Amino acid sequence: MTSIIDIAYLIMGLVSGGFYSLVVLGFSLGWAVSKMPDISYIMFIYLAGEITAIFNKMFGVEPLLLSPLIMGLFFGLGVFMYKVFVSFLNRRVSEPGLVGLTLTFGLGIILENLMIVIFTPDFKSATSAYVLRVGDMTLTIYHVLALPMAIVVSLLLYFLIFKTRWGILLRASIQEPIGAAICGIESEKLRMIMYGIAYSIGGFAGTLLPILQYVQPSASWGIMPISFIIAILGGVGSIIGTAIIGIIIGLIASYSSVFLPAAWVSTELFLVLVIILLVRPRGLFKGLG
Amino acid sequence: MDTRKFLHIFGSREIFILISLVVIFGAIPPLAGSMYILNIGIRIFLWTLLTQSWNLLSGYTGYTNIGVAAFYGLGAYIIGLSIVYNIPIIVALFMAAIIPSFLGLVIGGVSLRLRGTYFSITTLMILLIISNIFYNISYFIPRTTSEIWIPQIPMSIGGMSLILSYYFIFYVLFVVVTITTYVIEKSKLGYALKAVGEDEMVAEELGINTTKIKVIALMLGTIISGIAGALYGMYLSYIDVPIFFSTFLTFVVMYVAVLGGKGVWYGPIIGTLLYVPVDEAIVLLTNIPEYSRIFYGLLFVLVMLLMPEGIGGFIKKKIR
Repeated sequence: MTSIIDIAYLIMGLVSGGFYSLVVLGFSLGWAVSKMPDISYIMFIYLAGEITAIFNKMFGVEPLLLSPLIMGLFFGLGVFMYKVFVSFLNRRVSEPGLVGLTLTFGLGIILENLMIVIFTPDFKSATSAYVLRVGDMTLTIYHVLALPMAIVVSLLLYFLIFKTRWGILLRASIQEPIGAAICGIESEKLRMIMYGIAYSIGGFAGTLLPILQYVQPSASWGIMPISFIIAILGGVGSIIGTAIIGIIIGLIASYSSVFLPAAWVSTELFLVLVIILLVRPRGLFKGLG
Repeated sequence: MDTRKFLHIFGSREIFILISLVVIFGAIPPLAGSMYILNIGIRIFLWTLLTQSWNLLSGYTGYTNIGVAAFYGLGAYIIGLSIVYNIPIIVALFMAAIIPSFLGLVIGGVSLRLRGTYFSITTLMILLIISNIFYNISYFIPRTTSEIWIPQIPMSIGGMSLILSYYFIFYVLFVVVTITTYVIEKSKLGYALKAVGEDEMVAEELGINTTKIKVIALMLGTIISGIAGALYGMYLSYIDVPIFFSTFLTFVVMYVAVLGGKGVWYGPIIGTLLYVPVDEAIVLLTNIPEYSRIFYGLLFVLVMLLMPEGIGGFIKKKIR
């Protein structure tokens, strides 16, 4: 009996770990590119989730079919956010981190409450026609694919950033902006495109959200601390680190809910983060920049 | 302190602003007398105290503390639990100052060696941990809940009404804290903090023990926010996790500080004087909480876009 329970926790841990990795990949890359953590990014994920849930409920559209459209829209959104907020603040403010955090917090509040007004504060979820039965559990194709998709996305990103010429230019513009500018690299354009890519990963994660978890505008505040934990432990901008730590955190959260009341799981994760930060202030993996 | 140094501190024209502020706040609202104005006055003092406590470390040095609400809420819960367990108010207030500052010492001692954003995220984590602990407080202390109703404590001073007495208690605290920050800013500690904010490596080479002064600034700030939380908890006579350990409150404190100008003693006062009336107007105009929060969000975004260095930074340039 216990072994079945263990496998269930293992599966749920891997599924949520894959999902967290996807969410934080975009968050962490955006942070590395813009030098400020973007709280509104998490809210936009929930926006994508709301849209997916509505289309799924009204027209029965499979979330995966919707994801290319949402990823395209989110790429544009990321470019817009970079143009309007990030590059503006980086030009005008001496320490964009604090101002950017406060500004994106404001954007997050606006988005959260607009979503409550437009989509109602109800809990929403999506269903899929493709269902598997494993023992006593019913899994959709998305539960099965969450972890492989996270791995594929992180491998693609790794290839893009570390193996292509474009990636070399991007890393140069993040690590040494002035030197890159002297060499004639258009770093603003590179970063803008990377920010768009980060947002489109967020859009992809958002389409999976209503089927892997649930959508509710205010629930986004619950995923925010976890994203910070994963981003910092994995090293800001580190792709492999984020993917590994995301899966580990998903497993820890899943297994510790066996021994601890649900409310204590996040506290336990925070304590782990604080302790690790004291030992290794820059996270466990080397980040970008 | 010798006389010339004393005159140097009180010689500038800033002192006139200081004295006029003290007189205006001491005289006008009590004369106006209405409960509504007194309540707004108390809220102005509360926000000024919280923002000053943030400003002491983060405004001067740039080490952004996102955990102000942790110390504020801790002060409130200490007073609430003390009243439930019949501990004298004076002892409880003393504990509300000492325990948060001890927490500040522990947190600061270990985490102020981290740089920039990492320190900020650590303080945010501390806030979330503490709020989670108090949310589940019945797990530790039986027969208590995270919501504490405390009886209104009769604090009438010389036959004044209850709200007027609270007004004057907050007023005294406000004056003490404002003068203290003013003196700190003009003292060796203030210059050392500013030096850390300008360039920490150079400050260290000049012989400043940077970790020590950062921890001192954090501890002074936590004393202020602890006492402010305790007094406001007594004033509300209701203590709850969403009110006191609020992430929103922490961000509003940062916003008010940036609005008024960080790293100057009058910054928090200017920020609060701008924020509280707008806050009242939003509450009066919108009766649906979602719409009022959208307004707050718009305010955050607009101020950060239009004046990222705040109004205080602008005034600072004009005065010099």
